[in-house]
This record gives sequence, C-alpha cells and structure tokens, in this order.
Amino acid sequence: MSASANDRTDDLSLLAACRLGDTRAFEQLVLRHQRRLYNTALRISGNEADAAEIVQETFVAAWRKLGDFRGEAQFSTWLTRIAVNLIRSRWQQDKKRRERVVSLDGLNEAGNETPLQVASEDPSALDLLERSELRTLLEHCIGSLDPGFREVLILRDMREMAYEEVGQILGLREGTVKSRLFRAREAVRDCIARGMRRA
Amino acid sequence: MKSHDDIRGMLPALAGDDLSETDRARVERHVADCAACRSELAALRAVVQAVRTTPEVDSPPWLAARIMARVREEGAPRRRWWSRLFMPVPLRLPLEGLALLVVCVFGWYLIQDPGRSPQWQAVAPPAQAPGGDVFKGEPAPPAAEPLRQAVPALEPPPMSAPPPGRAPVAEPVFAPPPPPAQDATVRMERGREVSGALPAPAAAPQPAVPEVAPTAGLKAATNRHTSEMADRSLSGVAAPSLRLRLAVSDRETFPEHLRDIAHRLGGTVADSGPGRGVVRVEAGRLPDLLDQLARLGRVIERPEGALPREGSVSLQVLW
Repeated sequence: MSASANDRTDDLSLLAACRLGDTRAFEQLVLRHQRRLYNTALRISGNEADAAEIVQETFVAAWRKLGDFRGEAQFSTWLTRIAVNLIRSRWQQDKKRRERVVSLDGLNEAGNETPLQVASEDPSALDLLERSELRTLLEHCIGSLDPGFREVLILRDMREMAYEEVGQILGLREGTVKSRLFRAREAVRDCIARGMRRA
Repeated sequence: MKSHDDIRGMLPALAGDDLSETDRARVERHVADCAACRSELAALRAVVQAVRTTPEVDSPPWLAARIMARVREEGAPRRRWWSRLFMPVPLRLPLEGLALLVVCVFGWYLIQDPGRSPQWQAVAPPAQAPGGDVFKGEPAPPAAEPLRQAVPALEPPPMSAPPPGRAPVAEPVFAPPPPPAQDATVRMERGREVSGALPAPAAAPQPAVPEVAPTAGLKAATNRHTSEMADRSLSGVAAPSLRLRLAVSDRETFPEHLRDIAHRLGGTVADSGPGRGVVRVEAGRLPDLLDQLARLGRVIERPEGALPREGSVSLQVLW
C-alpha cells in the first residue's frame, strides 16, 4: 500500500472517531493537513493573516460538516475545496483587492477568452527587481494573476494535484483547468520578463 | 500538420510535461528547428520549475491550538437533519413510532369525546376547602358535574331496584331524573363528594389541608364510599340523596334523640343502624329537622343548595 493510500486510510479512521465527537482525532487531522492547507491559502490569498484565518475557518467548517463528507474524495481535497470557497467569498466581499489584480481575461467558461494582459504600470514589480529578489518577483506575479487562474496554477503546479482533483476542488471541467493553467504559466512568464526588462 | 502558432500554444503544456507522447514528440521536433520557440520554452520551463520549487512556509505555531480551541467551542460535530432525526435507526424508529401511535390514539380519544376537555378546566381552579363553611348552602361549583364524569370509577355501581314501597326520590343514579331543583342538589352533593375524593387536582391548590397527604385523602374517600356501599347492600334500600353528617359526643343516646326529633316533626326513622339512620319527613319540615339535629353535635356535612319543598324526603343522618 502506497504512502498516499496509507494516509487516506488513516484519515478515514480518524474521521470515524471525529464523527463520534473525538476532538483528539480531529487534532491529528489538523496537525496533518494544516501546513499544506496554510501554504495553499497563503499562495491564493497572498496574505499571511488571511491565510491563517482561512485555515482556521476551514477546519471549523469541516468539523461542523463532518457528516457531509462521504469519503468519495480525499479529505485533503475536501479541505482545500472548503478553503477555496472561503477565499472566494472573501474576494467577493473585498472588491478593492480585486482592483489591484492584473486582469488576465474574462474567465469565460464558454471559452471566449480575451488576450492576456499584464498591468503596464506596476511600480512594485520594479521595486522588487531592484532588490534582486527573483523569488519575490515570482510570488508577486503569481499574486497578480486573476484569482481563477491563480487557483489553478497553485493547485496544479504547487500542490501537484491531478487535473481531475483540481477540477473537483474548483468545480471546473478538466479542459478548462488545462486551459487556465497554460495561460497562467504564460502570464507569469510575461510578468517576470516585463519586470526584468524594467530592472 | 500543426502551424507555428499552434505549436507555440502548446509550449506551456510542454513546459510542465502535460502533453501526450504524440504531441510532445511533434512539438519537440518543431522546437528543434525554431529558435523563438526554444527561447520561449526555456522561459516557460524556468517559470514552471520556479513555481514547483516554491518552498513551503511553516504555518503559525499557534494556529493548531487556535483551531482546536474553536473546535472545542463548537462541541460535537453536527449531523445531518435526517441523521439527527432517525439515527440510530434501531433505537429511534421504534420510539418515534410509539410516540406517533400515542399521539394518534390520544388525538382519536379527544375527537371521540369533545366534551371531555372541560373536565380539566374544572379540575384546575381551586376547589372549595373541605374545612370551609358547609352550612352556607353555597351554589354547587360548576366542576361538580364534569368531575362526576371524570371519576367514573368512584361512581356507585347499579344496585338492586328499590323496594316496591319506596319512591325513587332523590336517587339520581338509579331513578329517573328528578325535578330540576333536586337534580341540582344531587349534582352538588355528588360533586362535592367526588371533589373531596380527588386527591391531587382538587386538593392541591387548597392550603387549608396541607397536612393531609393526597393519597390519604383518596384512601379516606374510598373507605367512606366503600362504607356507604356496604350500608346500602346491607339495608337493601337505595341511599337517600340528602345527607347530614354529625360529630356527636354521645353516640349511644343519639338514636333516641333522632327518633324524638323525627316524631315531633311528623316523620319517621327508618333503616337505622350503628352510626346511621334515615329520617323521612315532609319536605316542608326539613329545615326544622336540620336545625334541631345540628344542635345535637357538630355538623360535618349537610345538604347544600335549594332543599326540596314538596313531597316526602329522606335524610340520611350519619354520626
């Protein structure tokens, strides 16, 4: 049995105990999954405080709705989906944050996507390059992606999830996941290139 | 054959090794001959590599503790509504089925007897205290009749028919309905008797008798009822509806006084026995009879309400 299968079995046995009200079992699940979930939330939200709060709300929501988890997906997938939904709710509540996000395109499920655009006036990118922090520039470019593209890039390239799993979490078809992923890679490449040219 | 633009569109996928073997071979053949595509592919691979090697950061050390504090505040995880309602099935379903059956039976019972509900209203208000003034001839409480229905077990069973010579007056249980005034008296007496026999509902609101336990009251009432039934059985005579209960100091000489008074008022004493007797007088002499008998001892119970004014009446005297 693979390590992943072992983890899944362990998750299921802990979940069974949790359903009986065993908070110690749930604490084991928290310790097991909080780090990856925190990193995912941090990359998608771009804010440490928000990420911590989202992880906390995610686990509390998971505890409340343990009865809804049927075990068809992995527990980590279910957690990530809850976290993504929480982040999306925050985005909807915080319009100002979306204003400083680089608009990639219209996020059209029908496939009518407009050409990629990167904000031409972005002084923070130049500032970051002046400090020669390429990693920081990369994170900045990822953070500048439209949320719908950023989610796919992080789940696929950072979390190394399968397309199907990403689709489950985001509620997208596999073809849409791939399309967004490839466009996100191109957008990040363009963002970095632009930032380096300015430097 | 794919064009240059088609191939360029596939470069991001190739950079992440997300192409099938066929497409990969095709794109790589094109890239080998296209310097622009090679450059772009190199940039994309660098991006993908950089993204994939982004180091994970540690979550805040306080995060797990804060999560668990919130979880403990939440209590047990919530189950689905149907799970809360029916699970565990072997325990919940039989109990819920039984409860439903009880509700249905009770509802059917109420529908079948819509006049039953006033019983509870009649029992609820405080009844007259047993130690209260029984001489005032107060009107019968409205609870009397419903109480009689509410306690059918205390209703005397049908007795033998009255002797041929006896008129079935003042015998509501065995005789045809008496005149309205007498009927009211009978109801009043019956109601008072039964309300005294009811332990909890009627006696509970009465602070006048706190020393009497409810069960003791019921027991006493039951004994009294049994005694009266025994008297009736022994005499073979239907009990009179009017009753006077006295506490006398000299029980031995009381029967003589009773006979004297009855004779003076033109009446007779029938069905005399230890501690009891039935005086028959004209209805018009009944008030005098009650007054004179009341002087022989302390009245514990007496007929209430409007006394009959015509005909012959029988007064059961107990001492």
